[in-house]
Amino acid sequence: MLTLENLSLFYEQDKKVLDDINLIVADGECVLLTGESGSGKSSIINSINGLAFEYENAKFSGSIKVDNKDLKGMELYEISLMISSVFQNPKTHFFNVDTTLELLFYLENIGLDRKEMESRMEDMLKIFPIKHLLGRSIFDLSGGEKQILCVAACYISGCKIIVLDEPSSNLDDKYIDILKEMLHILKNKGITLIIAEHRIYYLTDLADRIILIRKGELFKELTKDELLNSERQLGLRSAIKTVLKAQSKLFGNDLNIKKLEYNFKDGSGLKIEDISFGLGNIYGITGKNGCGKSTFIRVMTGLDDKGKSEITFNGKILNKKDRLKNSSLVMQDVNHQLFTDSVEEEIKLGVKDLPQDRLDKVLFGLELTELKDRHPMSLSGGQKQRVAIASVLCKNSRFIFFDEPTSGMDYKNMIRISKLIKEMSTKDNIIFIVSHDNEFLNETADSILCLEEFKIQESKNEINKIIYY
Amino acid sequence: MYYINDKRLNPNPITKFFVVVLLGFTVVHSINQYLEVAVVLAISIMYLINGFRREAIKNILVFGVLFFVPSFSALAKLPIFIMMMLSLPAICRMFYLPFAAGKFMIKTSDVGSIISSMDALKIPKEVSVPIAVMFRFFPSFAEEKNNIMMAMRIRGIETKNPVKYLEYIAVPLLIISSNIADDIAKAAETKCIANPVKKTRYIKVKIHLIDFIYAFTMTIIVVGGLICLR
Repeated sequence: MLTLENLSLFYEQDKKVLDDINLIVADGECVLLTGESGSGKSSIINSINGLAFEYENAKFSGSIKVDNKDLKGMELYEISLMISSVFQNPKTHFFNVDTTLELLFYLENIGLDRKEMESRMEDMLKIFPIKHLLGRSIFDLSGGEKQILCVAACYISGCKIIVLDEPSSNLDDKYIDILKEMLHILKNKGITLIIAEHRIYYLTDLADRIILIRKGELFKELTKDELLNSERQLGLRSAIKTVLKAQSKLFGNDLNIKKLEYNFKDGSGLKIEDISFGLGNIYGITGKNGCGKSTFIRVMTGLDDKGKSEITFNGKILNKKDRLKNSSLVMQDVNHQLFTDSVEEEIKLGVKDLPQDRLDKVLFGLELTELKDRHPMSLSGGQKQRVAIASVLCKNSRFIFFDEPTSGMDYKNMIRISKLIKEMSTKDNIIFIVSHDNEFLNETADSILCLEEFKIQESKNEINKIIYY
Repeated sequence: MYYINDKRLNPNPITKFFVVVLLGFTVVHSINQYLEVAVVLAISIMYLINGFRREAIKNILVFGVLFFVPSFSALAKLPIFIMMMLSLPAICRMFYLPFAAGKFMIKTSDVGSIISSMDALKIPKEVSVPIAVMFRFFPSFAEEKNNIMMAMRIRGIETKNPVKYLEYIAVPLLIISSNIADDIAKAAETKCIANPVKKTRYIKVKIHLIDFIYAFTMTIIVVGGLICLR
């Protein structure tokens, strides 16, 4: 049993992020914590697994107990012996490079002998058919595969409580389905699950209790019906699975991919021939994790050196250099693309002769005027993204690319970015959005290009469905 | 045994570290240049049999260029301008052998075997864990660095001024490095790396034939080279 009693959490002296949280989670229960970004759901998760105190210098009052053992003053490893964690971005949360060793790492650290390790591994493989993921380098796995591995590692650890912080935010539909099945299996095994999420559709069947967090407080316990009827007012993502709307094929005649070929390491490849795009349109680029969406961006922007491509614009061939000059990209992790020491400098960087009034207008439009002297790295995630968008707007490129702009975003922020992108679209540019967020694409894109249709030969190491026990 | 790649052709980290230290001596006492070529070829062969074809070729090519850089004693006789131009490459040349062996060690050793081998040497946890984290940091860092370079290219930052270039790349690189380090540490800590019980290792550090071959070849070349010079 996990008990939170009068839990309040502070960052620095007076920044209170959680206020008097009281929560009892019974063994084997599945609790869904939901709410807008910044409401405090992740803070609850990080208080339970102890990371908030160790890594973010948070202080707390009240108590957190597991089976009446107070976690206060415990070392992280002591907490981790009882509680396993799954993080939002699986990309970085692996210690080993080899997947098998990663699964065994926890077992090595708690001193199990080899025989016991093998039997736990066998036990895990019986319920999760992920044999094909073993013995591989984590750098060769897709985001979905990594997240599955994280969940499997939690199971193998034998912890009775698993906390998950927005586990679906980097996954496509298929992997969300697999994650859902895995969570069902874990629940049936009697494992307590505490999940913080705002993408809730895949959890409505699973959760025993759904708790809405607002401004650091447990605002309300919701019934499933309440959730299904009012997710929008609550600022949450759709409570039922969103299907991509069938959109008209708005394939204009300005930018033309005559040929685009790329071979992946695993023997599969991407082959696109004779597709045209029209100025003034917003195109959604979709396809499951690992189907080549990022590759598509790299080739189209001219950043890629390996693939073969023949692309024309208004009949004229665009070589890589031309494409690089005419393209802008807003990356998924905007930390990669902020280089200078003030927002204003950042926006001016790489743009020749930018008139001051244009700059001011862009700053104003993106609510950045007051932040223009701040260091870009000192801003919040959303603000950083707006700085990146501002620099793209000032570069005035003909082709604008967004790589997963809404991963981990709640409804309000998603709508905000959708509006921004629609405002950016003019008669002189083409916008491409790589995303697996159907809700967002339905809201934003004029037309959809699914890259799976262009994939040659499925990758051999595929997981398709987990059998539901 | 579960799907762990066969490491028969990959020497264990202790052997690789021994070779790095051994080649470190060549910095102070340079050996015959043909023996240097032999060392570089040996490292490339090691890369090749472990499936790193690109690294093998790169290693030879880089040394091929450095090979023609004159040594410091020869440099001293050249005009000052050429001396200034060539002194940096000359330093690179001096350190190339231990550098190449070090790179081979980092590229081909996984965290698990590094921890195991440090355990075998009875190195205390306070030292071995940070070293393991360091090793794990390199591949993530390389991945992130590529993303930053991509962002720079598309932003049109191709300044010829190296100081400015460093300034631009430093900001995201530092922020991202600190994020990676935090994430790796979190991953390790939530997996109980600090647990004080006696740990077990799935992979035992074994000594294979390749360890002897690698260590002996290098020892013979270096010691032989040093003796010949006398």
